[in-house]
Amino acid sequence: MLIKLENVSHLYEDQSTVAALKDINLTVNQNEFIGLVGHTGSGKSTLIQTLNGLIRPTRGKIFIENEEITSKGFDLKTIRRKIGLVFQYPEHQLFEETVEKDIAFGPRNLGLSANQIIDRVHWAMDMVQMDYDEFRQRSPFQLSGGQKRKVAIAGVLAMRPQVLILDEPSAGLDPMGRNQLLQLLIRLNKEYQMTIILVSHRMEEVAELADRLLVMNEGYLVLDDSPREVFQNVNLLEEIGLGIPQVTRLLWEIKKRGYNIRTDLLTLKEVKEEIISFTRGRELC
Amino acid sequence: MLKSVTIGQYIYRDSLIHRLDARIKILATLIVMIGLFMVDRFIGFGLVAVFVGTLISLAKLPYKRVLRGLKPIIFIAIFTFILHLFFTPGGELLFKIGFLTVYEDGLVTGLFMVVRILLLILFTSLLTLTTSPIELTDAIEYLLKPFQKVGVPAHELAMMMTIALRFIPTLMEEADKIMKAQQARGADFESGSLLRKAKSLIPLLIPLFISAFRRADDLALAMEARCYRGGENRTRMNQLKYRVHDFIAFGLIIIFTVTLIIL
Ligand SMILES: Nc1ncnc2c1ncn2[C@@H]1O[C@H](COP(=O)(O)OP(=O)(O)OP(=O)(O)O)[C@@H](O)[C@H]1O
Ligand SMILES: [Mg+2]
Repeated sequence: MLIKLENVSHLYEDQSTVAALKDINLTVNQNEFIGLVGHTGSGKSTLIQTLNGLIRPTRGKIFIENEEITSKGFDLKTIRRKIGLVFQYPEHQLFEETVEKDIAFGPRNLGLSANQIIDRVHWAMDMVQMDYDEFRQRSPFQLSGGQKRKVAIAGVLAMRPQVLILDEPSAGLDPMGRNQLLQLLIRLNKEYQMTIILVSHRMEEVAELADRLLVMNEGYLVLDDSPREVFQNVNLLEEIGLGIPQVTRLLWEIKKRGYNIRTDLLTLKEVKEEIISFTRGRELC
Repeated sequence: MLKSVTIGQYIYRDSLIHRLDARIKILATLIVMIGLFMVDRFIGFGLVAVFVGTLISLAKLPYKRVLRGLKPIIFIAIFTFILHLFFTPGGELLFKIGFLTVYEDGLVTGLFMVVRILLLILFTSLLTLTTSPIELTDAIEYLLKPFQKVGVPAHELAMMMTIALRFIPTLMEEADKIMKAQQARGADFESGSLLRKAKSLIPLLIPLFISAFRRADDLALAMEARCYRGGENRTRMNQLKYRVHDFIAFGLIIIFTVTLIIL
């Protein structure tokens, strides 16, 4: 087990009465692909920041590879090379003169040699599908929004973390950019055995990609299960302001009208097949 | 960690002092300040101290919080004291250690200066403690109006101050966010020599400036889109009006300061 949280609670200010995290227990295993969803303000960003020591939770313990990172005097920098975090709108953190230098910032902080750094930068740019020779000397500030996003993500990738956490990485991207990004995540998970935690509020997105789904509401972790199981809780999800994938919703509506149809399907393809097999040999009109 | 920085330590209370017109409070502060500089005996300081104490309780402010405001200048006060202690000759020789000599006048002037500095800071802090930043900038605009004839851009200055005050918390938040993002990339803002620390700020400052400029640009555009034209013929939501108690307060301040000077 890679990451373990025990009774983690967090208050942003000592006097504040509402906790951003309330008694969270969670384990993350090697090579999982986890989706983290929740209404705005439910504590997702807070939770992921506790995972690499940017926020020290008010109460509770966090273990990473069986080391307690919440203990006093723990050197958090060793954690940051294991756990990469891509923030919401990561393009706002770019600062170097060239794309290459900016991506190299992380590896340089790790104390790698010049050759290793070049290799890492090259690899990271390949992963986000940016041509190394074309872009490496460009200023990051003269790129388009989507390209900046790619550079920022490459900057974290270049540190080669075991766990990659992304906070709403597809917000504001066009469909193609989003698709590319999701393909990248799948590839990192399958080919490079990276553990991925993806924060998103597009249900279709996480339903399709993640093998495990965490649902947060008002600081609590309310559901932790496979997407199939999670989306069975339609009422709870709607109560806390989350939807379910549209195709799944369609199945539920059919079921509500008295037909006996499966509802634990999430992707367009699965649902299409279910509906075809359901209607076959039936007089519908 | 950046959260702990507060600018303008306004404490909201419903009190007579809080309700006074901000212009009166600014003028009163200036007048008493002049008075403080003209005081030449300790008894005058005693009077001011009693006055400040009365104001604090009238404003329903917690004494502790107000006194804590003196913390940042303790160092300056001590430095002033030592300087005067050793370098003012005159009066009886009190004692002598090596080349350092302390005369009676030195001790007295030293104490005198320290008390003056502390009272000065304490009194001016009452202004910012009891007046919200917005009221303050409004008042400054009014007070600068007469100087517009000689080219002081009163409205623009006040607008700039308001905008700056409005954006300080936003920028703090932004700085916090960028700092975390860079820390996640292994940046280290805490350890190393002074030079290294200064260098490590580059990844924080550049994105911060860029975002500040972007915000400024957006704001300028938004203001222009709503036909903002500066001070000419602009009416305002909160009109400042002098009321009876403002005049009474001003009269009291004048009487107090005159007594102070005569004493
Ligand atoms: N820096 C901060 N200081 C004080 N309170 C904060 C801070 N950041 C977040 N909070 C509070 O903590 C709670 C959880 O916020 P968080 O940012 O984790 O939500 P989120 O799930 O990421 O929301 P979103 O989907 O909008 O990004 C909110 O109530 C928020 O107001
Ligand atoms: Mg968030």
